[in-house]
Amino acid sequence: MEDETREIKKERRIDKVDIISSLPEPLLQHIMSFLPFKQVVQTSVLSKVWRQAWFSFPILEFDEFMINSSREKKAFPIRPYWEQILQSRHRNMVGVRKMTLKTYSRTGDSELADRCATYAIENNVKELVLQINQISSMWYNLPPIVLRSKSINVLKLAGCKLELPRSDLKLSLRKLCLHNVHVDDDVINNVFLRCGFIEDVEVIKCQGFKRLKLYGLSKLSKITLYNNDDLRHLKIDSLNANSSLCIRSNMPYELDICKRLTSLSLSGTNRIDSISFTEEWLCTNIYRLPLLEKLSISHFSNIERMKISSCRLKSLEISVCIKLVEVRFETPNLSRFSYAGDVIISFSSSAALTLSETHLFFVCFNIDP
Amino acid sequence: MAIMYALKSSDNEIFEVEQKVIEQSETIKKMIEDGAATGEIPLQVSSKTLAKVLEWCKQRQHKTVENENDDNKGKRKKERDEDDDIKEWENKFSDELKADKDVLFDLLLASNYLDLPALLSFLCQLVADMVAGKMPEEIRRMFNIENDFTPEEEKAITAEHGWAFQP
Repeated sequence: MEDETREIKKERRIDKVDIISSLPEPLLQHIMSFLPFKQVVQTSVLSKVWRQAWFSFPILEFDEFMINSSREKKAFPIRPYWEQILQSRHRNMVGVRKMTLKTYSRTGDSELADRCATYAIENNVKELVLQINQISSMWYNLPPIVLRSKSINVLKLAGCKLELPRSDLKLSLRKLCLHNVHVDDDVINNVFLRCGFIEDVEVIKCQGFKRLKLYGLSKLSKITLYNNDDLRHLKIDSLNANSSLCIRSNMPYELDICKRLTSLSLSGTNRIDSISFTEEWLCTNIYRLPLLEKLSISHFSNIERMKISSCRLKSLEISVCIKLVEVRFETPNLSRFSYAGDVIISFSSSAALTLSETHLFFVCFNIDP
Repeated sequence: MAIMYALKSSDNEIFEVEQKVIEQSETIKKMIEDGAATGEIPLQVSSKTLAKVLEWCKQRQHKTVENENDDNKGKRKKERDEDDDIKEWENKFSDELKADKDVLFDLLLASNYLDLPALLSFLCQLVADMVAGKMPEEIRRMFNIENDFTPEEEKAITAEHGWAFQP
Protein backbone atom coordinates (compact mmCIF):
# COMPACT_ATOMS: atom_id res chain seq x y z
CA MET A 1 0.00 0.00 0.00
CA GLU A 2 2.72 2.40 1.06
CA ASP A 3 4.77 1.32 -1.92
CA GLU A 4 1.90 2.05 -4.19
CA THR A 5 1.48 5.59 -2.86
CA ARG A 6 5.19 6.13 -3.28
CA GLU A 7 4.93 4.89 -6.86
CA ILE A 8 2.11 7.32 -7.58
CA LYS A 9 4.00 10.18 -5.95
CA LYS A 10 7.08 9.37 -7.98
CA GLU A 11 5.06 9.28 -11.16
CA ARG A 12 3.52 12.63 -10.37
CA ARG A 13 6.92 14.07 -9.74
CA ILE A 14 8.15 12.84 -13.11
CA ASP A 15 5.05 14.29 -14.66
CA LYS A 16 5.93 17.65 -13.11
CA VAL A 17 9.47 17.82 -14.47
CA ASP A 18 10.28 21.12 -16.13
CA ILE A 19 11.98 19.97 -19.33
CA ILE A 20 11.88 23.24 -21.23
CA SER A 21 14.07 25.05 -18.69
CA SER A 22 16.64 22.27 -18.79
CA LEU A 23 17.22 22.77 -22.53
CA PRO A 24 20.64 24.21 -23.43
CA GLU A 25 20.44 28.00 -23.45
CA PRO A 26 20.94 28.41 -27.23
CA LEU A 27 17.92 26.14 -27.82
CA LEU A 28 15.81 28.07 -25.35
CA GLN A 29 16.85 31.27 -27.14
CA HIS A 30 16.06 29.70 -30.49
CA ILE A 31 12.49 29.12 -29.22
CA MET A 32 12.37 32.69 -27.87
CA SER A 33 13.46 34.04 -31.25
CA PHE A 34 10.07 33.00 -32.67
CA LEU A 35 8.20 35.14 -30.12
CA PRO A 36 7.32 38.82 -30.45
CA PHE A 37 10.03 40.86 -28.69
CA LYS A 38 7.61 42.10 -26.04
CA GLN A 39 6.89 38.55 -24.98
CA VAL A 40 10.57 37.66 -25.01
CA VAL A 41 11.03 40.35 -22.38
CA GLN A 42 8.08 38.93 -20.43
CA THR A 43 9.71 35.50 -20.23
CA SER A 44 12.44 37.00 -18.01
CA VAL A 45 9.98 36.79 -15.12
CA LEU A 46 9.32 33.05 -15.49
CA SER A 47 12.33 31.82 -13.52
CA LYS A 48 16.05 32.41 -13.02
CA VAL A 49 16.93 30.19 -15.98
CA TRP A 50 14.71 32.24 -18.28
CA ARG A 51 15.99 35.51 -16.85
CA GLN A 52 19.52 34.40 -17.68
CA ALA A 53 18.43 33.43 -21.21
CA TRP A 54 16.97 36.92 -21.66
CA PHE A 55 20.18 38.58 -20.40
CA SER A 56 22.17 37.05 -23.22
CA PHE A 57 19.39 36.91 -25.83
CA PRO A 58 21.14 37.76 -29.12
CA ILE A 59 18.29 39.71 -30.71
CA LEU A 60 17.30 43.22 -29.62
CA GLU A 61 14.32 45.00 -31.06
CA PHE A 62 13.73 48.54 -29.88
CA ASP A 63 10.59 49.77 -31.57
CA GLU A 64 9.21 53.07 -30.37
CA PHE A 65 6.17 52.76 -32.63
CA MET A 66 5.10 49.57 -30.88
CA ILE A 67 3.98 51.54 -27.85
CA ASN A 68 0.73 53.12 -28.77
CA SER A 69 -0.92 55.10 -26.02
CA SER A 70 0.62 58.32 -24.73
CA ARG A 71 -0.37 57.20 -21.23
CA GLU A 72 1.85 54.16 -21.62
CA LYS A 73 4.66 56.31 -23.01
CA LYS A 74 4.53 58.53 -19.93
CA ALA A 75 4.30 55.66 -17.47
CA PHE A 76 7.18 53.73 -19.01
CA PRO A 77 9.70 56.05 -20.67
CA ILE A 78 11.17 53.71 -23.21
CA ARG A 79 14.39 55.42 -24.28
CA PRO A 80 16.00 55.45 -20.78
CA TYR A 81 14.98 51.78 -20.50
CA TRP A 82 16.78 50.91 -23.74
CA GLU A 83 19.82 52.96 -22.72
CA GLN A 84 19.91 50.91 -19.55
CA ILE A 85 19.75 47.62 -21.45
CA LEU A 86 22.57 48.76 -23.74
CA GLN A 87 24.73 49.82 -20.80
CA SER A 88 24.14 46.62 -18.89
CA ARG A 89 24.93 44.49 -21.95
CA HIS A 90 28.02 46.51 -22.68
CA ARG A 91 29.18 46.19 -19.06
CA ASN A 92 28.61 42.44 -19.02
CA MET A 93 30.09 42.00 -22.50
CA VAL A 94 26.93 40.41 -23.88
CA GLY A 95 26.90 40.30 -27.68
CA VAL A 96 24.13 40.79 -30.20
CA ARG A 97 23.40 39.08 -33.51
CA LYS A 98 20.47 41.13 -34.70
CA MET A 99 19.78 44.72 -33.63
CA THR A 100 16.70 46.72 -34.58
CA LEU A 101 16.00 50.32 -33.64
CA LYS A 102 12.89 52.11 -34.81
CA THR A 103 12.55 55.60 -33.43
CA TYR A 104 11.97 59.19 -34.49
CA SER A 105 13.98 62.36 -34.29
CA ARG A 106 13.06 66.02 -34.34
CA THR A 107 16.54 67.35 -34.92
CA GLY A 108 18.07 64.66 -37.07
CA ASP A 109 20.34 63.70 -34.18
CA SER A 110 19.80 60.48 -32.33
CA GLU A 111 22.27 59.61 -29.62
CA LEU A 112 20.35 56.42 -29.02
CA ALA A 113 20.77 55.36 -32.67
CA ASP A 114 24.49 56.20 -32.50
CA ARG A 115 24.88 54.10 -29.39
CA CYS A 116 22.84 51.17 -30.75
CA ALA A 117 24.90 51.15 -33.95
CA THR A 118 28.18 51.38 -32.07
CA TYR A 119 27.28 48.65 -29.59
CA ALA A 120 26.01 46.38 -32.37
CA ILE A 121 29.07 46.82 -34.57
CA GLU A 122 31.54 46.43 -31.73
CA ASN A 123 29.85 43.08 -31.10
CA ASN A 124 30.04 41.94 -34.73
CA VAL A 125 26.32 42.15 -35.38
CA LYS A 126 25.07 40.20 -38.41
CA GLU A 127 21.85 42.09 -39.02
CA LEU A 128 21.27 45.78 -38.34
CA VAL A 129 18.02 47.69 -38.82
CA LEU A 130 17.95 51.45 -38.20
CA GLN A 131 14.76 53.33 -38.92
CA ILE A 132 14.83 56.98 -37.82
CA ASN A 133 11.59 58.68 -38.80
CA GLN A 134 12.00 62.40 -39.27
CA ILE A 135 9.56 64.83 -37.79
CA SER A 136 11.26 67.84 -39.36
CA SER A 137 13.11 67.75 -42.66
CA MET A 138 16.40 66.86 -40.97
CA TRP A 139 18.09 63.58 -41.86
CA TYR A 140 19.81 61.36 -39.38
CA ASN A 141 23.47 61.16 -40.30
CA LEU A 142 24.45 57.52 -40.31
CA PRO A 143 27.60 56.96 -38.25
CA PRO A 144 30.40 56.10 -40.74
CA ILE A 145 31.32 52.93 -38.81
CA VAL A 146 28.15 51.26 -40.13
CA LEU A 147 29.49 51.25 -43.68
CA ARG A 148 32.85 50.02 -42.46
CA SER A 149 31.51 47.03 -40.54
CA LYS A 150 32.75 43.73 -41.92
CA SER A 151 30.35 41.58 -39.88
CA ILE A 152 27.00 42.88 -41.15
CA ASN A 153 25.22 40.60 -43.64
CA VAL A 154 21.86 42.31 -43.64
CA LEU A 155 21.54 46.09 -43.38
CA LYS A 156 18.24 47.97 -43.47
CA LEU A 157 18.28 51.74 -43.21
CA ALA A 158 15.43 54.23 -43.22
CA GLY A 159 15.34 57.97 -42.66
CA CYS A 160 19.12 58.32 -42.80
CA LYS A 161 21.61 60.32 -44.78
CA LEU A 162 24.62 58.39 -45.93
CA GLU A 163 27.96 60.08 -46.06
CA LEU A 164 31.21 58.30 -46.07
CA PRO A 165 34.80 58.95 -46.80
CA ARG A 166 35.98 57.03 -49.85
CA SER A 167 37.01 53.62 -48.70
CA ASP A 168 38.17 50.42 -50.37
CA LEU A 169 37.23 48.20 -47.48
CA LYS A 170 35.19 45.22 -48.72
CA LEU A 171 31.86 44.64 -47.01
CA SER A 172 30.14 41.29 -46.44
CA LEU A 173 26.60 42.53 -47.06
CA ARG A 174 24.20 39.98 -48.56
CA LYS A 175 21.16 42.22 -48.39
CA LEU A 176 20.89 46.01 -48.36
CA CYS A 177 17.60 47.88 -47.99
CA LEU A 178 17.47 51.66 -48.22
CA HIS A 179 14.10 53.30 -47.60
CA ASN A 180 13.70 57.04 -47.66
CA VAL A 181 17.44 57.52 -47.49
CA HIS A 182 19.39 60.49 -48.78
CA VAL A 183 22.49 59.41 -50.64
CA ASP A 184 24.39 60.98 -53.54
CA ASP A 185 25.88 59.31 -56.64
CA ASP A 186 29.40 59.03 -55.27
CA VAL A 187 28.36 57.48 -51.99
CA ILE A 188 25.84 54.94 -53.32
CA ASN A 189 28.17 53.76 -56.06
CA ASN A 190 31.08 53.58 -53.66
CA VAL A 191 29.01 51.40 -51.31
CA PHE A 192 27.95 48.97 -54.05
CA LEU A 193 31.49 48.70 -55.39
CA ARG A 194 32.46 47.24 -52.02
CA CYS A 195 29.57 44.75 -51.75
CA GLY A 196 30.91 41.83 -53.81
CA PHE A 197 28.70 39.28 -52.00
CA ILE A 198 25.43 41.13 -52.28
CA GLU A 199 22.38 39.12 -53.40
CA ASP A 200 19.42 41.34 -52.62
CA VAL A 201 19.16 45.11 -53.12
CA GLU A 202 16.12 47.20 -52.25
CA VAL A 203 16.13 50.97 -52.84
CA ILE A 204 12.81 52.65 -52.16
CA LYS A 205 11.87 56.33 -52.11
CA CYS A 206 15.48 57.39 -51.85
CA GLN A 207 16.77 60.67 -53.12
CA GLY A 208 19.97 62.46 -54.03
CA PHE A 209 21.36 60.08 -56.67
CA LYS A 210 20.90 60.12 -60.44
CA ARG A 211 23.00 57.16 -61.50
CA LEU A 212 23.01 53.72 -59.96
CA LYS A 213 25.81 51.44 -61.06
CA LEU A 214 25.79 47.85 -59.88
CA TYR A 215 29.10 46.63 -61.21
CA GLY A 216 30.76 43.27 -60.73
CA LEU A 217 28.10 41.91 -58.38
CA SER A 218 27.86 38.38 -59.72
CA LYS A 219 25.75 37.07 -56.84
CA LEU A 220 23.07 39.69 -57.33
CA SER A 221 19.70 38.02 -57.85
CA LYS A 222 17.01 40.41 -56.62
CA ILE A 223 16.82 44.14 -57.26
CA THR A 224 13.88 46.27 -56.20
CA LEU A 225 13.81 49.96 -57.12
CA TYR A 226 10.65 51.85 -56.21
CA ASN A 227 9.94 55.54 -56.60
CA ASN A 228 13.45 56.91 -56.51
CA ASP A 229 12.49 60.21 -58.09
CA ASP A 230 15.99 61.45 -58.90
CA LEU A 231 17.19 58.26 -60.60
CA ARG A 232 17.85 58.65 -64.35
CA HIS A 233 20.27 55.89 -65.23
CA LEU A 234 20.56 52.31 -64.06
CA LYS A 235 23.45 50.12 -65.07
CA ILE A 236 23.87 46.52 -63.99
CA ASP A 237 26.75 44.66 -65.61
CA SER A 238 26.55 41.24 -63.97
CA LEU A 239 23.88 39.10 -62.37
CA ASN A 240 23.26 35.69 -60.87
CA ALA A 241 21.66 33.09 -63.18
CA ASN A 242 18.15 33.47 -61.77
CA SER A 243 17.66 37.15 -61.27
CA SER A 244 14.73 39.50 -60.98
CA LEU A 245 14.45 43.25 -61.32
CA CYS A 246 11.42 45.22 -60.12
CA ILE A 247 11.07 48.84 -61.12
CA ARG A 248 8.33 51.24 -60.11
CA SER A 249 8.77 54.78 -61.28
CA ASN A 250 6.87 57.89 -62.37
CA MET A 251 9.02 58.20 -65.45
CA PRO A 252 11.21 55.94 -67.52
CA TYR A 253 14.94 56.01 -66.99
CA GLU A 254 17.83 54.76 -69.00
CA LEU A 255 18.46 51.06 -68.49
CA ASP A 256 21.62 49.19 -69.25
CA ILE A 257 21.07 45.76 -67.80
CA CYS A 258 23.07 42.57 -67.88
CA LYS A 259 21.69 40.13 -70.48
CA ARG A 260 21.32 37.39 -67.88
CA LEU A 261 18.19 38.93 -66.38
CA THR A 262 15.31 36.39 -66.31
CA SER A 263 12.48 38.25 -64.59
CA LEU A 264 11.44 41.87 -65.04
CA SER A 265 8.60 43.76 -63.44
CA LEU A 266 7.81 47.30 -64.58
CA SER A 267 5.30 49.57 -62.99
CA GLY A 268 4.53 53.13 -64.03
CA THR A 269 2.02 55.53 -62.61
CA ASN A 270 -1.68 56.34 -62.88
CA ARG A 271 -0.83 59.86 -63.97
CA ILE A 272 -1.19 60.51 -67.66
CA ASP A 273 1.52 62.89 -68.74
CA SER A 274 4.10 63.30 -71.40
CA ILE A 275 7.05 62.02 -69.42
CA SER A 276 5.69 58.56 -68.67
CA PHE A 277 6.77 55.26 -70.26
CA THR A 278 6.52 54.90 -74.04
CA GLU A 279 6.09 51.93 -76.33
CA GLU A 280 9.49 52.54 -77.83
CA TRP A 281 11.17 52.48 -74.42
CA LEU A 282 9.46 49.20 -73.60
CA CYS A 283 10.32 47.54 -76.93
CA THR A 284 13.95 48.59 -76.85
CA ASN A 285 14.54 47.42 -73.32
CA ILE A 286 12.83 44.07 -73.72
CA TYR A 287 14.73 43.47 -76.95
CA ARG A 288 18.00 43.86 -75.05
CA LEU A 289 17.16 41.05 -72.65
CA PRO A 290 17.36 37.78 -74.61
CA LEU A 291 17.05 35.49 -71.57
CA LEU A 292 13.93 37.11 -70.17
CA GLU A 293 11.35 34.48 -69.11
CA LYS A 294 8.98 36.45 -66.95
CA LEU A 295 7.63 39.93 -67.60
CA SER A 296 5.10 41.99 -65.74
CA ILE A 297 3.86 45.39 -66.90
CA SER A 298 1.46 47.59 -64.99
CA HIS A 299 0.33 51.21 -64.84
CA PHE A 300 1.80 52.17 -68.21
CA SER A 301 -0.89 54.80 -68.52
CA ASN A 302 0.20 56.43 -71.76
CA ILE A 303 0.68 53.42 -73.96
CA GLU A 304 -1.99 52.47 -76.48
CA ARG A 305 -0.17 49.73 -78.34
CA MET A 306 2.31 47.23 -77.09
CA LYS A 307 4.48 44.81 -79.02
CA ILE A 308 6.04 42.15 -76.87
CA SER A 309 8.85 40.56 -78.78
CA SER A 310 10.83 38.07 -76.77
CA CYS A 311 12.13 34.70 -77.77
CA ARG A 312 12.33 32.98 -74.38
CA LEU A 313 9.43 34.67 -72.62
CA LYS A 314 7.25 32.12 -70.79
CA SER A 315 5.10 34.25 -68.56
CA LEU A 316 3.54 37.64 -69.22
CA GLU A 317 1.32 39.76 -67.01
CA ILE A 318 -0.27 43.02 -68.08
CA SER A 319 -2.42 45.00 -65.70
CA VAL A 320 -3.94 48.46 -65.31
CA CYS A 321 -2.67 50.05 -68.52
CA ILE A 322 -5.72 52.27 -69.03
CA LYS A 323 -5.15 53.44 -72.61
CA LEU A 324 -4.03 50.09 -73.97
CA VAL A 325 -6.07 48.84 -76.93
CA GLU A 326 -3.77 46.43 -78.69
CA VAL A 327 -1.15 43.89 -77.72
CA ARG A 328 0.94 42.10 -80.32
CA PHE A 329 2.84 39.00 -79.36
CA GLU A 330 6.04 37.81 -80.91
CA THR A 331 6.63 35.28 -78.20
CA PRO A 332 6.97 31.69 -79.46
CA ASN A 333 7.48 30.25 -75.98
CA LEU A 334 4.81 32.06 -74.03
CA SER A 335 2.84 29.62 -71.88
CA ARG A 336 1.26 31.83 -69.22
CA PHE A 337 -0.54 35.06 -69.95
CA SER A 338 -2.54 37.15 -67.54
CA TYR A 339 -4.33 40.36 -68.37
CA ALA A 340 -6.30 42.67 -66.10
CA GLY A 341 -7.78 45.78 -67.63
CA ASP A 342 -10.26 47.26 -70.06
CA VAL A 343 -12.43 45.09 -72.30
CA ILE A 344 -11.70 47.05 -75.44
CA ILE A 345 -8.47 45.38 -76.43
CA SER A 346 -7.23 43.21 -79.23
CA PHE A 347 -4.59 40.52 -79.00
CA SER A 348 -2.69 39.28 -82.02
CA SER A 349 0.25 37.09 -82.63
CA SER A 350 2.62 36.58 -85.54
CA ALA A 351 2.95 32.87 -84.85
CA ALA A 352 0.90 30.21 -83.15
CA LEU A 353 0.85 30.60 -79.39
CA THR A 354 1.01 27.57 -77.13
CA LEU A 355 -0.60 29.06 -74.07
CA SER A 356 -1.30 26.50 -71.38
CA GLU A 357 -2.65 28.97 -68.88
CA THR A 358 -4.49 32.20 -69.55
CA HIS A 359 -6.18 34.52 -67.12
CA LEU A 360 -8.18 37.45 -68.39
CA PHE A 361 -9.80 39.88 -66.00
CA PHE A 362 -11.70 42.64 -67.70
CA VAL A 363 -12.33 45.68 -65.63
CA CYS A 364 -13.86 48.81 -67.02
CA PHE A 365 -12.05 51.93 -65.91
CA ASN A 366 -13.70 54.44 -68.19
CA ILE A 367 -17.41 54.22 -67.65
CA ASP A 368 -19.32 56.79 -69.67
CA PRO A 369 -22.53 57.80 -67.99
CA MET B 1 19.41 -0.01 -55.62
CA ALA B 2 19.39 2.39 -52.73
CA ILE B 3 22.22 2.20 -50.20
CA MET B 4 20.89 1.30 -46.77
CA TYR B 5 22.35 2.10 -43.38
CA ALA B 6 21.55 0.65 -39.97
CA LEU B 7 20.99 3.12 -37.17
CA LYS B 8 21.17 1.88 -33.60
CA SER B 9 19.16 3.74 -30.96
CA SER B 10 20.40 4.24 -27.37
CA ASP B 11 18.11 1.36 -26.31
CA ASN B 12 19.68 -0.91 -28.97
CA GLU B 13 16.92 -0.97 -31.53
CA ILE B 14 18.04 -1.14 -35.16
CA PHE B 15 16.50 1.04 -37.89
CA GLU B 16 17.26 0.28 -41.54
CA VAL B 17 17.21 3.54 -43.48
CA GLU B 18 18.05 4.73 -46.99
CA GLN B 19 21.22 6.80 -47.26
CA LYS B 20 19.38 9.70 -48.87
CA VAL B 21 16.96 9.91 -45.97
CA ILE B 22 19.52 9.96 -43.19
CA GLU B 23 21.99 12.21 -44.99
CA GLN B 24 19.71 15.11 -44.16
CA SER B 25 21.36 14.86 -40.77
CA GLU B 26 24.71 16.64 -41.02
CA THR B 27 25.95 14.67 -38.02
CA ILE B 28 25.28 11.29 -39.64
CA LYS B 29 26.48 12.52 -43.03
CA LYS B 30 29.83 13.42 -41.46
CA MET B 31 30.01 10.02 -39.72
CA ILE B 32 29.49 8.31 -43.07
CA GLU B 33 32.04 10.50 -44.86
CA ASP B 34 34.61 9.97 -42.14
CA GLY B 35 34.18 6.22 -42.60
CA ALA B 36 33.13 5.88 -38.98
CA ALA B 37 29.87 4.30 -40.07
CA THR B 38 30.74 0.75 -40.95
CA GLY B 39 28.02 -1.60 -39.79
CA GLU B 40 25.63 -0.06 -37.31
CA ILE B 41 25.68 3.66 -36.56
CA PRO B 42 25.19 4.11 -32.81
CA LEU B 43 23.15 7.18 -31.85
CA GLN B 44 22.42 8.76 -28.49
CA VAL B 45 18.72 8.89 -29.27
CA SER B 46 15.96 6.63 -27.89
CA SER B 47 14.07 4.38 -30.29
CA LYS B 48 10.81 6.25 -29.69
CA THR B 49 12.42 9.58 -30.60
CA LEU B 50 14.46 8.17 -33.48
CA ALA B 51 11.27 6.78 -35.03
CA LYS B 52 9.84 10.32 -34.97
CA VAL B 53 13.03 11.78 -36.44
CA LEU B 54 12.90 9.31 -39.32
CA GLU B 55 9.21 9.98 -39.87
CA TRP B 56 10.15 13.66 -40.44
CA CYS B 57 13.15 12.87 -42.65
CA LYS B 58 11.16 10.48 -44.86
CA GLN B 59 8.43 13.06 -45.37
CA ARG B 60 11.03 15.68 -46.35
CA GLN B 61 12.82 13.27 -48.67
CA HIS B 62 9.54 12.29 -50.33
CA LYS B 63 8.84 15.97 -50.96
CA THR B 64 12.18 16.75 -52.61
CA VAL B 65 12.15 13.64 -54.80
CA GLU B 66 8.69 14.46 -56.15
CA ASN B 67 9.69 18.01 -56.97
CA GLU B 68 12.72 16.81 -58.90
CA ASN B 69 10.59 14.46 -61.01
CA ASP B 70 8.06 17.10 -61.92
CA ASP B 71 7.87 18.44 -65.40
CA ASN B 72 6.41 21.85 -65.99
CA LYS B 73 3.01 20.75 -67.18
CA GLY B 74 0.38 21.03 -64.50
CA LYS B 75 3.07 21.67 -61.97
CA ARG B 76 1.31 24.55 -60.30
CA LYS B 77 -1.84 22.63 -59.53
CA LYS B 78 0.19 19.69 -58.31
CA GLU B 79 2.26 21.96 -56.13
CA ARG B 80 -0.87 23.39 -54.58
CA ASP B 81 -2.21 19.93 -53.80
CA GLU B 82 1.13 18.86 -52.43
CA ASP B 83 1.35 21.93 -50.24
CA ASP B 84 -2.03 20.99 -48.79
CA ASP B 85 -0.84 17.44 -48.18
CA ILE B 86 2.32 18.62 -46.45
CA LYS B 87 0.35 21.08 -44.31
CA GLU B 88 -1.99 18.31 -43.28
CA TRP B 89 0.89 16.00 -42.46
CA GLU B 90 2.66 18.71 -40.46
CA ASN B 91 -0.50 19.55 -38.54
CA LYS B 92 -0.94 15.93 -37.53
CA PHE B 93 2.76 15.69 -36.58
CA SER B 94 2.46 18.89 -34.49
CA ASP B 95 -0.74 17.79 -32.74
CA GLU B 96 0.87 14.53 -31.63
CA LEU B 97 3.86 16.40 -30.25
CA LYS B 98 1.77 19.01 -28.46
CA ALA B 99 -0.08 16.21 -26.72
CA ASP B 100 3.16 14.62 -25.51
CA LYS B 101 5.64 17.28 -24.41
CA ASP B 102 8.23 14.71 -23.34
CA VAL B 103 8.50 13.45 -26.91
CA LEU B 104 8.46 17.04 -28.18
CA PHE B 105 11.50 18.08 -26.15
CA ASP B 106 13.33 14.78 -26.74
CA LEU B 107 12.83 15.37 -30.44
CA LEU B 108 14.03 18.95 -30.11
CA LEU B 109 17.24 17.79 -28.43
CA ALA B 110 17.68 15.02 -31.01
CA SER B 111 17.27 17.42 -33.93
CA ASN B 112 19.96 19.58 -32.36
CA TYR B 113 22.29 16.62 -31.82
CA LEU B 114 21.70 15.21 -35.31
CA ASP B 115 22.03 18.66 -36.87
CA LEU B 116 18.68 18.81 -38.64
CA PRO B 117 18.14 22.59 -38.85
CA ALA B 118 14.75 22.42 -40.59
CA LEU B 119 13.30 20.11 -37.94
CA LEU B 120 14.88 22.15 -35.15
CA SER B 121 13.33 25.38 -36.42
CA PHE B 122 9.99 23.66 -36.96
CA LEU B 123 9.96 22.45 -33.35
CA CYS B 124 11.14 25.76 -31.88
CA GLN B 125 8.37 27.50 -33.82
CA LEU B 126 5.91 24.93 -32.49
CA VAL B 127 6.90 25.57 -28.86
CA ALA B 128 6.84 29.34 -29.46
CA ASP B 129 3.31 29.03 -30.87
CA MET B 130 2.26 27.22 -27.70
CA VAL B 131 3.71 30.06 -25.60
CA ALA B 132 2.63 33.02 -27.75
CA GLY B 133 0.08 35.33 -26.18
CA LYS B 134 0.08 33.49 -22.84
CA MET B 135 0.66 35.20 -19.51
CA PRO B 136 3.74 34.15 -17.49
CA GLU B 137 1.62 32.21 -14.98
CA GLU B 138 -0.03 30.20 -17.79
CA ILE B 139 3.36 29.43 -19.33
CA ARG B 140 4.70 28.23 -15.99
CA ARG B 141 1.70 25.90 -15.61
CA MET B 142 2.00 24.61 -19.15
CA PHE B 143 5.64 23.54 -18.80
CA ASN B 144 5.85 23.03 -15.01
CA ILE B 145 8.29 25.90 -14.66
CA GLU B 146 8.99 26.55 -11.01
CA ASN B 147 8.98 30.22 -10.08
CA ASP B 148 12.22 30.47 -8.09
CA PHE B 149 12.01 34.22 -7.49
CA THR B 150 10.88 35.73 -4.19
CA PRO B 151 7.78 37.91 -4.56
CA GLU B 152 10.02 40.97 -4.13
CA GLU B 153 12.37 39.85 -6.92
CA GLU B 154 9.46 39.14 -9.22
CA LYS B 155 7.98 42.56 -8.52
CA ALA B 156 11.31 44.23 -9.24
CA ILE B 157 11.63 42.47 -12.62
CA THR B 158 8.08 43.35 -13.61
CA ALA B 159 8.76 46.98 -12.66
CA GLU B 160 12.08 47.07 -14.54
CA HIS B 161 10.45 45.91 -17.79
CA GLY B 162 7.17 47.73 -17.11
CA TRP B 163 6.30 48.43 -20.76
CA ALA B 164 6.39 44.75 -21.69
CA PHE B 165 3.83 43.80 -19.07
CA GLN B 166 1.18 46.19 -20.36
CA PRO B 167 -1.68 44.52 -22.20
